Amino acid sequence: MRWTRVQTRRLACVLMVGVAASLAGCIGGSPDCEALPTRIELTLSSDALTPSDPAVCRGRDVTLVVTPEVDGLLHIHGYDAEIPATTVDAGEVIELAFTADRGGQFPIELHTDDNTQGVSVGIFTVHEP
Amino acid sequence: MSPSVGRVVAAAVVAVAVLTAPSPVVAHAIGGTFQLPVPLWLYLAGAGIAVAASFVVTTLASHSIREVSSYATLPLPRGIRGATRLGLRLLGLAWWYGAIIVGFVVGDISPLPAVLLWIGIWVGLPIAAVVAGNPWPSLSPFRTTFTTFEWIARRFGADRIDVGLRYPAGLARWPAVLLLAGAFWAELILPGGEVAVTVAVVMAGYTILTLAGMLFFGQIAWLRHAELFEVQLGWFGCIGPLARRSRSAALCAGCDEGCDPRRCLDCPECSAAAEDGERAAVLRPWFAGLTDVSRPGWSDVVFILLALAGITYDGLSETPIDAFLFNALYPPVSAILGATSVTTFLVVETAQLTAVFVAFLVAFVAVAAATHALSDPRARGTLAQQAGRYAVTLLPIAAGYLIAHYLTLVIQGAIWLPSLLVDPLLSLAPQLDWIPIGVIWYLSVAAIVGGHIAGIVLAHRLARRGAPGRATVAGLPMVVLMIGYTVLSLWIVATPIVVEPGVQPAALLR
Repeated sequence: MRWTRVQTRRLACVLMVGVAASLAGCIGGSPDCEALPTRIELTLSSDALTPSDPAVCRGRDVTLVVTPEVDGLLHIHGYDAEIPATTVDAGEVIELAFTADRGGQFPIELHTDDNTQGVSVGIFTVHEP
Repeated sequence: MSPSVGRVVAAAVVAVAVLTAPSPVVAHAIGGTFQLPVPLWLYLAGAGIAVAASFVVTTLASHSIREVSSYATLPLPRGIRGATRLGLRLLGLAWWYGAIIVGFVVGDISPLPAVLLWIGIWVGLPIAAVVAGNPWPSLSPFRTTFTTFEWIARRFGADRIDVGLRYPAGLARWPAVLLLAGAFWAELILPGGEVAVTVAVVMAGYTILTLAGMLFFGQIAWLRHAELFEVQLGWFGCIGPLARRSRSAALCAGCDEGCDPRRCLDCPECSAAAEDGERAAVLRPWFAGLTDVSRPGWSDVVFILLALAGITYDGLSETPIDAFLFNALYPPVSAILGATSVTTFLVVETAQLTAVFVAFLVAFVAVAAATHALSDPRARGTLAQQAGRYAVTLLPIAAGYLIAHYLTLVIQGAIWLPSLLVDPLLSLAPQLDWIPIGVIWYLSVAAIVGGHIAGIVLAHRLARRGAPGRATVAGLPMVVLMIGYTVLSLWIVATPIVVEPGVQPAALLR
């Protein structure tokens, strides 16, 4: 199919606008590290954590204050070295304090007597600052 | 195609890319944890570049893409070839049989067999084939074992050891398709697929099956049609810079593929049949191997689409798409099989994987049929041939996603391996914090977009051949499909993880 010069230039224009529009999504991206609290209060039921997606920026000292409604074993996959698996008892508030020195998304798991295999109750995200 | 139509289509595709802006999803689990998702602006930039490049290739650059089916090759020095061949053979034997032995002897809690099989062979080798070339013709423990048996038999005076059954031509590569499906099921769904003993059993079973197949149908027929890794790595190796040239005129003369004895490169039959002296490795440009694929058929289409679906499913399985499929499929299955039985979950997960594969296959076949209809009847060949050739152009896109999604896992496995060989019970996977997350992001997007551009260029060549005069129109369905798949891949790596309350972690943590 033969293109005239004008048609070709118009198409090239459209393409460049398209690319520019895509790249214009160049806003946002990094989270506001100051706005993310480092002392996070969480409620733990048998299959869910509320809120289920606690997040901090890398390098911060974090304290997770967990109020469990069930007995079990709680741990954060990938942060097992900093926080070993912790026994939780219903009604007893526990505090987990550590430094979030690795970025990524880390599933939070709860193992109970009814569910020894464990169930994912939430995701702990450590953003890049 | 008139400019105004082109404008509308371009705008629509960009709009789709922007509107499918991701909400939380997951990148691949590294030993139980997940990378940070690719940021929104990088996702949009990648999608935009992919779309723009597609249109540049199919409209503006039309006349500058040369025919490349006679690409340059560079022979490798003989000494290096011989040493590498021997080294790879020994490595293959140690790797495969070593994993089986460790699995049975050391037992349950060793992660070593899983690292050797699922990370090393299943994901690592395809990436190696794409980047450096297909190692399997020398690495294959089955070839080495069978050749050893033959050598021993010859010592005892036997001329050949195979039973001599004829491999039915109609079967084509369907056995490899079945084995691929089984392997994906074992990787993605089988509970305890990473447990040492399970891995050892799977590998031992596959060894027996392959050797039996080679014994009954002959080495050549079995390897080129039914051995999973020969077929899989053969396809990915087409992207890589290494080709095997068969140098014996007698060999090519008897070859069913009808290859030219003066230029027999990566012929599936000759390279399976060639003895050491009749075959030589040569270097060639990346992607060039995809341009001279001979006679692909429906079994190749299904194989490639299944490979694509399986590679993508691992990422998809942590996205809202997976939750949607689960909610659709769980109620009817649990009504029949019971709400909490393990069988129910297995059936539902198998159905989810099947649904994704069927969706991919239906989309592709519809596009192939549309392309066939738009092509010149004198130039296009049969639907099976055309579908097969277009399926091959999807391989770079699959390779791009493979690298984007699994490269960090392979690096982690490679770092873990030396410590595991010393202490097979070491269960803590090394963390990769020394790699800046930005590097991982840019690499993932670059791999996906790069694979896409290669696929578009190859598809356009085919369109020019099959529909001379209106290649842009005839190639359009395929371009749209590729853009759709690329945007899906980018979306998967760009969305943070979400957790469905109460879901078993095994379903998430592959």
